[in-house]
Amino acid sequence: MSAGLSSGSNDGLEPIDRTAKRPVVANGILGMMLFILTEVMLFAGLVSAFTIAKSAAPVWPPPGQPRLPIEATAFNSVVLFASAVALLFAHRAFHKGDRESMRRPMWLALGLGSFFVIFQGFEWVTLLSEGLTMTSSTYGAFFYLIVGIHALHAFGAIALLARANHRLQQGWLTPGLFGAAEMFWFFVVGVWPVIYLVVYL
Amino acid sequence: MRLKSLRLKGFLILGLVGMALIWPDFAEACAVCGAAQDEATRKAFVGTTAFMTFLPLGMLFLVVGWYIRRTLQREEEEEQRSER
Amino acid sequence: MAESIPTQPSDPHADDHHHEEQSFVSKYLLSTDHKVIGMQYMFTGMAMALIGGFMAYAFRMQLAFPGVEVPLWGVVTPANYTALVTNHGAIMIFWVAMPVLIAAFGNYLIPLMVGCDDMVFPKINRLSYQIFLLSAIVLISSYFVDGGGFGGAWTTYPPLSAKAEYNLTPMGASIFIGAVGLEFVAFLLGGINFITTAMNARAPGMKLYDIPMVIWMIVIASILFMVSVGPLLAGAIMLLFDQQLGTAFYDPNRGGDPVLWQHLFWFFGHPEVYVVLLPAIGITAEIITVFSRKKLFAYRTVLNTAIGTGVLSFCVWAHHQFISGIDPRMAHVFTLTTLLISIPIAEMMFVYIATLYGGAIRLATPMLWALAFIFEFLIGGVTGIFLGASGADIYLHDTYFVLAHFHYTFFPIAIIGTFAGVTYWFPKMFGKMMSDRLGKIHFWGTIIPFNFIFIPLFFLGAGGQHRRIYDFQNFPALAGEGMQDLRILATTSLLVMLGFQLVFFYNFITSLMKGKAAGKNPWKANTLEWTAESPPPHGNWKELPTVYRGPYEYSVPGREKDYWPQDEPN
Ligand code: HEM
Ligand SMILES: [Cu+2]
Repeated sequence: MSAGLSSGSNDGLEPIDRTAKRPVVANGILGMMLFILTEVMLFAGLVSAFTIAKSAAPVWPPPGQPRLPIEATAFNSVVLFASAVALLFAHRAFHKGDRESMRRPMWLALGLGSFFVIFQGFEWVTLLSEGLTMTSSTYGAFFYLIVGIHALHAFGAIALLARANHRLQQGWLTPGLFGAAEMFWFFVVGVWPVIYLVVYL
Repeated sequence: MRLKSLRLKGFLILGLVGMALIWPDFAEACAVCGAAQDEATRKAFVGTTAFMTFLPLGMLFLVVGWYIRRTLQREEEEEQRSER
Repeated sequence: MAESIPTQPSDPHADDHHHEEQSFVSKYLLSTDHKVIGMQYMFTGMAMALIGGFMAYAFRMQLAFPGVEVPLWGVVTPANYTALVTNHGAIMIFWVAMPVLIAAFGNYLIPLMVGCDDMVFPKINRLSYQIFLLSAIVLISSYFVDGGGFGGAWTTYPPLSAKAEYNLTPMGASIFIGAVGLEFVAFLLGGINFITTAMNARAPGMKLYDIPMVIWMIVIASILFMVSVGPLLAGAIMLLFDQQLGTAFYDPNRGGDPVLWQHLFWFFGHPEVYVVLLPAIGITAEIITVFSRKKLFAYRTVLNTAIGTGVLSFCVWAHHQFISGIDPRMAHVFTLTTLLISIPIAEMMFVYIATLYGGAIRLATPMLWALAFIFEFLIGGVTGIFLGASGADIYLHDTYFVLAHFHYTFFPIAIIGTFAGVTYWFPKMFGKMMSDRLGKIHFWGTIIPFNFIFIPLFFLGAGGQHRRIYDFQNFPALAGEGMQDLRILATTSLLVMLGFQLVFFYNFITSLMKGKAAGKNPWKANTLEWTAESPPPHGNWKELPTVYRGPYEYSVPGREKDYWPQDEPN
């Protein structure tokens, strides 16, 4: 599977298969799984902290603070899910070995994902102008913290997907890279509903 | 990976019963218990504690358990093949 | 893709390993070779141990002889004192125990012991070390910024740590957190590498239960680290925001909660102690089997026990918060789980003693260290049970009893375990034997003073001496002659112990230069690293080994030799 990549020409992201034995899971995918375990716990910590702060407050959300845009974000969530669905189609095509029909869903997934992040950016600008900031209340602080960290992960995942897409155009996308990139994106999509439920609703 | 399940189960049951028996009512055990006075926050702490404790264990149980079972299975297959 | 295993391991990169001459920089500083990275971690960790040891020297001098002008430091001011204890603790845990036990031994040993030529992600591995080095530099730099180094204890509890008005180190506190954060990222990258390599790159024929115990332990420790560090990272980001952006996550006046930090911190903090414990236990397993020429008693039991310890370690962490105002119902549960966790630990110790029983024991230096590990760690574990009982802990919490408890766990792990590993694998790492006589002098010169440092601290703690106090002369109950004598005894023993470390460095350097050549397998051990050259070349073996059996086949009846290397067909 290593396709003759030597450690010399390797860019460090592409794992090297060290033995002739076939592992249960490809290196890149196992590495990404472990990374995601850590990330899940990062969000578990954030969400737990939020829950505790919320329970300690007499009224939640605190009076005098702007409300979060629940409907607009619901729409944005749908966009995010659509991008995951597109990626599923790419996954199917990839495993059928049909690289041609993989291109369109890849671009679609990337586009929808980017739309999600940009839309969030606009939401933040509105909220900031309405007076919700990190220091205005723990409500605001937690909102920007949790959603911001999620957005950072979305950035990272989009970058990884874009890299995979680039490799696809060049014609040497490996299962390791694609598997890792799609797992990371599914993780980003997967934690979003939890955040939406806990923070927005 | 088969744990010596009987003995382990015994220990687990003993531990759980023990916990249930001494599960205390609320008591101000020491002079400094000032934080989290209201029941809602208390519950939030207990709930998030349980959540944060069992989430990683659950994930590991699924992921690592699956991985190890697959690996052992494969080792067995390979052994059979080399015997033939 | 064919599913069969080829009988001859084929290495597609074999020709990579006969490189042309490399420059010093690319060979030792920018190398992706796992052995070089392991050495980098080890030497950085040792340098940090010297810094941490020097800090201990400075603040112990202040405790024994308050107000004295400490040679090489000067008068220890109250601000100095808190910064010194804070950074001593953080350095010893995060910049000594973790890099040496997990990263150095993990990097060096995993590919060699599972029989492959390098880590699966070599560049990520190099990045991991570079981030680690950066974190160490960042930490040390905090001493030179405005306000000086952070002094709010390694546990960094808010509100003290969250506000510059309280801790008086506007920059130092944030730099401290930044350094710890960077260090975690480094270990995250390292951990991914360790686990993936040990699981996916094993030599043909090496089954799961043929993996040497030390590798299992490092893998389990890495997993524990990775799933516990997330909440702490979340908490650290929040703390950093509190310090720098003025948010109120931990500010009780503005809707935050300081106990929240303790939750996030100890959720990581307790698993962390097992993260460093397990590798040391693994190193001990390798050494006692080799030096008693016996099979490890109950391999699978040790493995399952380690997994059980890992599981339980997620369920005990609130024992650090018994008097932080946590729910008493929770305190009860955590008392029980804390007492439960001593069962698997004790079980491991018993397995080791059973391994020794009836063996042909040879007391070489590594074996002495391994035995000392078992002996001294037991004291640490047993005193932990006292603390785990929440009733007793109300009195003992934050006294020197706690301090002595965890030094009886951490010192065996980080110092004794490291010396055990270094003296055992030195012949492999450098191709030379260390002097056994000097090794034994160093051993006794470390172990005896160690006990004289910390036994007195148990008594002081039981007598009510609290931690993190600059000068006990301000407390009449603690200033009496008897107590001060114990403090002086502890400090003097520390000086003796630090002095004996010179023997180690002398031994290390002279053995490097003119030690006896070690040969491939000086200890007559079974595991794969001893089949490579000493020191192993880039790529480890010309032809990767094939494994036929488990790692602990010593004194098998009916065989001429009393050991049976893993790669010998019969
Ligand atoms: C048998 C196993 C153990 C038990 C039952 C145990 C129990 C405890 C308890 C209850 C405390 C809290 C005391 C207090 O703050 O009032 C404590 C503190 C501590 N333990 Fe242990 N422990 C065990 C093993 C270990 C190990 C293996 C390590 C280190 C590798 C360790 C390191 C520490 C540290 C560093 C602290 C103090 C943290 C601080 O407040 O700065 N313990 N232990
Ligand atoms: Cu603990």
